[in-house]
Amino acid sequence: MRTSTSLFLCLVWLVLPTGAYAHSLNDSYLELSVIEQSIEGVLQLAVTDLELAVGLDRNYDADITWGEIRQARADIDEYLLNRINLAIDDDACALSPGYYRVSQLPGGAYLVVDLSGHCPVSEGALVLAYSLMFDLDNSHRGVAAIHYQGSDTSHVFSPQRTVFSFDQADSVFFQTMVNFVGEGVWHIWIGIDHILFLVAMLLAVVVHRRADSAIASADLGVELLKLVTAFTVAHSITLVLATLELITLPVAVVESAIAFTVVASGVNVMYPLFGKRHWQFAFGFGLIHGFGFANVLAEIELSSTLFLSSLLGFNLGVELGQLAILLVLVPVLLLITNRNSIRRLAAPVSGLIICQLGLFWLVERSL
Amino acid sequence: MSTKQIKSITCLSSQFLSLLVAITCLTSSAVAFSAESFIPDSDNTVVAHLEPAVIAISRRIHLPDTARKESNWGESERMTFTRKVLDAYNLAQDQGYARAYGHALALVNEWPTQYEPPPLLRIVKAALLQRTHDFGAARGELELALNADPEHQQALLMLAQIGLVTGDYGDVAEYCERLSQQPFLLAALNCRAQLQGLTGDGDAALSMLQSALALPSVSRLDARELHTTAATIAHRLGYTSIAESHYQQAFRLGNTSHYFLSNYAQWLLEQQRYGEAEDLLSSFIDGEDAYELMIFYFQSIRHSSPEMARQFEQQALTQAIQFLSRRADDRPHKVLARYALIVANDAATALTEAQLNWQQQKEPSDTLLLAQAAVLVEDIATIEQVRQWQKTTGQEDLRLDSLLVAAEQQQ
Repeated sequence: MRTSTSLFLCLVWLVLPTGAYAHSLNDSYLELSVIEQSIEGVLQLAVTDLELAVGLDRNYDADITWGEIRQARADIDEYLLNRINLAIDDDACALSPGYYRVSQLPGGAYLVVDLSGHCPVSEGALVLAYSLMFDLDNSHRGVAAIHYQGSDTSHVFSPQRTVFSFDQADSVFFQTMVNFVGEGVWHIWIGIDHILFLVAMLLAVVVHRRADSAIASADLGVELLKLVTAFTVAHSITLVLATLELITLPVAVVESAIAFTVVASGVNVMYPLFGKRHWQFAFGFGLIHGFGFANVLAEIELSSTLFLSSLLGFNLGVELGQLAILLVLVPVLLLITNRNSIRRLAAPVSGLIICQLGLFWLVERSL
Repeated sequence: MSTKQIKSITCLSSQFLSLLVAITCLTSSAVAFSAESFIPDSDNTVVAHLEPAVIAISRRIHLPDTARKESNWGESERMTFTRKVLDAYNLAQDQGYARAYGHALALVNEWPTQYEPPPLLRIVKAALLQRTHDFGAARGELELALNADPEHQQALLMLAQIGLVTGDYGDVAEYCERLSQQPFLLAALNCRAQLQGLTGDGDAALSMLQSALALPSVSRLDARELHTTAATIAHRLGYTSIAESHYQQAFRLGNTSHYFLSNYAQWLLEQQRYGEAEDLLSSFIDGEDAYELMIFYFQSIRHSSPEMARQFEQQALTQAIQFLSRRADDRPHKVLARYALIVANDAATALTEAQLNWQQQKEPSDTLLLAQAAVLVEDIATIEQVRQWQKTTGQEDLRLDSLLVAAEQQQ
């Protein structure tokens, strides 16, 4: 930008400024972490700014010593506490400055102040008000990074934006849900008993296709879909009921019952125990497996505010994990059982293995 | 799907990705305020040395002050306050210190709302707002000043200057015209020359400036400004020797503004006179807000001493840029675009930042920067936007012409 055309007007005091280059580093940096009711944080404020705010240079020698900063500690603390305010759900949090240190940043020497504190509540909108320096330096900015109950956000405070409100509920909801999707996927993958049950149920449908005229692919697909849907719906029902503690069953009973479902489904592979009622049995046994998933979820401590997102995420994760298994397993099963001879062999061998594993778990969990 | 469409889609994707990367970087940099902190060994350890401007501001702040505390401001208090604002502004101008400008603006804002500020105060406020790219608010203040005094030369000049930056050339023409109707003023002539230089009449502007410079009444300050305008117009027109002569004379007359230095440095770099660019910039890169000059300095020393350039980049430039980026929406897009283009070789980020910058200001250097990034990324839509802008305004810039021709050949 042209700078000094105004000089032509002989208004010597006033020169057009170099507007395009007005970017300074007279910012402060505030990090705050709020976990439950506890606050930890660090503020970095330029020593130059503190000189303007509280007057550090007591001997007027243009040098700010560590001693001068320490002498001004009471003034600095008061200044900071008056101008940085935190509240959750309209309840003010108590902040207190801790250790002082010094850092060298591109904008010069900064005072680093540890912050700690406590809030009366842990849920609700977080409101951070910041007004350091604005009355003395309009170009000052407060760059804040905030970690609030598992959710990160940032804000740049300016004279026009001195209050920042952050309601973590929405963002945390989705973030938590995403986290729990991962948990759900992981638990179905490492839950070998659930997988084996599913494999056995699928295997039974595949191997008990009629030997002479194979069930049409479409019918087989429908049958598998019904089975998986029934299992999903069933375990979702009991997962929700158990997590909400509307129905509680002893863990040992649930785990033994799950082992029993594996044994039963293994037998069903060898001999069509369930007849054509695959999905009905999948539903019934799925109810039992849902209690098992609930036990896993119970091991992960959930905040009451994040309960719904955790539950939804976990359940979704279980379904996605299950779907991934099916996408790999079904084509493989169809391929290897395509020939009658293999199918006839696969039924007793795989059924027997599944049964044995189921029995092993049943005994182990019952003792 | 045609090649053009594929290119457009690729461009859009790369822009989107770069935006994501930029956001991620900004977020992560905002979160990670990593700097080694320490507790000094002794109370006598000097932690910081105060700049003269800070000492001056601090003295003012901490001295007993009656005017600021008066609830009922009489005529005398208002005059005292206005003088104080002017002092603060002068101090900022003298020291070129960002906090001093910030302090002056904070002071202006203390004017009690129940009293109409004098035009002078509005003009100071506008100058301070303009400095932080708050062009809309600056315009508002200047228009209010003009309401009080429709012939206020300073307000008209500043409005014209803002229009030149934002590319509102219709407004500029009006303000220049209103200035021309007043008693002969070289500033009005300069205003017209600047406008002509940006709207396809560069040769006429150069002739007018040459004639004005030949006038015996031209003061040193007048000459400095006229030479600067002439240098930048000749630069864009590709008149090498004329540009050099005007740049040198403006520099000799004491123009060390960032605007002038960055244009002059760019011209030297374009002429591949790296040593001269280095000499020119070396005394100015330590100043506040000198980030763009630092980038040009890096560019100049990269040719003579790559190792020194690397150290300069790592120890000074990159860290400063990272901190600047933390201002999120307030970040300096032009500096970041230039940094991405010249230092980081990240054309996609350069384009994103240059586009954001172009939304704010459309000086020739902003347009050129946008075009450079767009050509590198092969962003056809942006190249077309620049081409349209050039067509509409008639802007003459040999560098831009070459870029657009190259882009056309690429397509």
